[in-house]
Amino acid sequence: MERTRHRTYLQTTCTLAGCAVAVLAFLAGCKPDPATECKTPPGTTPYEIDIPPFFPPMDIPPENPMTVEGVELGRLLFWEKGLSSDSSMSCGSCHLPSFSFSDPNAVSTGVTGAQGTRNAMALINMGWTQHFFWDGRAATLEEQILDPVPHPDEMNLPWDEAVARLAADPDYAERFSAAFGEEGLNASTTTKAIAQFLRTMISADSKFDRWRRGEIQLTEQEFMGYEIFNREGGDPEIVTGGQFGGDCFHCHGEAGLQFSDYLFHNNGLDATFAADPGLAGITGQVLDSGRFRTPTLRNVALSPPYMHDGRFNTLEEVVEHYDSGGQPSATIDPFMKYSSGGLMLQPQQKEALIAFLHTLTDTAFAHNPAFADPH
Amino acid sequence: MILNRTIAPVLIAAFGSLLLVAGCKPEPMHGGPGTLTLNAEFRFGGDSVLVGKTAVDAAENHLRLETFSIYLGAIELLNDTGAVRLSDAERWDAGAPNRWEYVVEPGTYSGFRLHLGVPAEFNTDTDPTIWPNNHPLGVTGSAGMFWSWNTGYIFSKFDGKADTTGAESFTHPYAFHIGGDDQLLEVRYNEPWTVAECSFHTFDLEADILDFLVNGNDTIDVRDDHITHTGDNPALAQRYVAAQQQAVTLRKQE
Repeated sequence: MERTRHRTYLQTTCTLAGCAVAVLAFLAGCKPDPATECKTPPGTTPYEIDIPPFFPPMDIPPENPMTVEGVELGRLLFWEKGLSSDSSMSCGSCHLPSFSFSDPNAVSTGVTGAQGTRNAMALINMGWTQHFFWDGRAATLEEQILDPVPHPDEMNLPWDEAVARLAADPDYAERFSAAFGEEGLNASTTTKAIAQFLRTMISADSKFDRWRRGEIQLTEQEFMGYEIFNREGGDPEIVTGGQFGGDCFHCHGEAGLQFSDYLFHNNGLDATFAADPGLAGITGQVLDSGRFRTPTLRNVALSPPYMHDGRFNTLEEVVEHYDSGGQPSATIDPFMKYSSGGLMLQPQQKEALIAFLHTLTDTAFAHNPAFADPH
Repeated sequence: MILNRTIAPVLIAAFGSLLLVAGCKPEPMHGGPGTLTLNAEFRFGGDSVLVGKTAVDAAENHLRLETFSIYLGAIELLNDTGAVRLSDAERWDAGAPNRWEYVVEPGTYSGFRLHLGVPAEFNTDTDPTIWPNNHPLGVTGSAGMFWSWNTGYIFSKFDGKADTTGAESFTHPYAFHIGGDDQLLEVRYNEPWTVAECSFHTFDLEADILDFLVNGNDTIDVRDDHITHTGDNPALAQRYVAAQQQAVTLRKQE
């Protein structure tokens, strides 16, 4: 009797278990791939990004969905000087708001006094950026953020020490828990939070944006500059198809209002590349020598100096460089007019081009209190 | 009875496992659609199309390849009632994977076609932001192949530098950037063919891109004619497209 009751109990249990397995198997077998889901951690508040007119959708990594808690934490961390070895520098120390979150120095100076080799790029519309750093060595924004904290020439703080410092602060511990739940506080969640904050830093209210939205007019000079920007370079008597333009659009195209193709080009700054091989330093390909990622031209007037090494201090110098055609080399871009006497822009054309570049200035972005130091 | 009760949960669990396996697996082998594979078999002087490769063209210039990208647009099956769209657009870049697969409904088709370029419906007054970023026509996915100011997308891009002196000095730039609805080129396979259930069919799009510079007696010599963006030099663009038309074939593998 006892044995029979036990067998019946077992049979019932097994039958229920079998049914459960069947249902679970069906459900589990057909659920979407977790990699394609973009679920926020339990208890968090999803952060909705407003995509500006004419902008493309923003691709948010499924493993780092945007949350209100994550963005707030990311802002604190971006400005957190405790992430440097002597607690003197934050990310914002080299990405200054008034310079469109770039460094006005040609190269940045780290906590040890060591200097970097490249200009700190402007942090602007990072949610749409492809290939990070001038040489594209980071594939994602999160990966890019991992680099400066332990870099000996920058913040010089090993990640384990950085995490320990944050964990010792009850407010941070609580905020990480609120933003990432069980994932907790570590180097990965620190970069995720900063990346979330950076993705909120959207500039879409320049004079050019307002013109595109039909709200205002460009001046005659600005519009002339816009046309030069979008015209082929060179004298048609010398260059087939030349239109006496600036030939800027090839790399700084207007598609999606990004003003960058986010690809790599050699714009003829140097004839040799021993000082900085650019993309070739990552790929090992000789044909990548001297090629650097195209920066956006948004807020370009706010973010001198220019080029990967900050060699030009003014937009006038930049325009003169392109007008010259650049220095010939094995890898110079075919659209540089090095073999045909340069762009041959007239002084008023150069002025118009620069006037147009100023229409890409968005001072509201640079002074947005939502991006300012909260400490 | 006891045996049945013992077996029942096992059977149910087995049924569940079968659901797991069968519930989401691809279409069964019997009664399913066919598969069409399209291969872009481009060559550069008979060799692979790779950045940095050099080859001698018909005008005896040594060309070094720096960029080759091309859109394959409006890829369609043809039948009695019209066209069945398989893909709006694909983009092929030098060195990238060159194979695309499509699901095809069984039936008889009168042909297969694609276009070198982007169909007008997506090219005229278009906005690349309507596409997901990584779509071939999206802002990121188009990877520098969108002309915001001109005629929509660059249908094909072939550029690099030439050694015009024979001294292994690749300093002379050349660039053929073709676009505009008028330059859309149809490539067609015109034989009737049948797609049986679960059958596989492969088409090869073949061309040597150096032949894009030769059309009968007309040879484009990059020493003289080396840059076109279509709108700024339509004559050279049309010579290039005419040569392209002669150079490209679409072949069905038997």
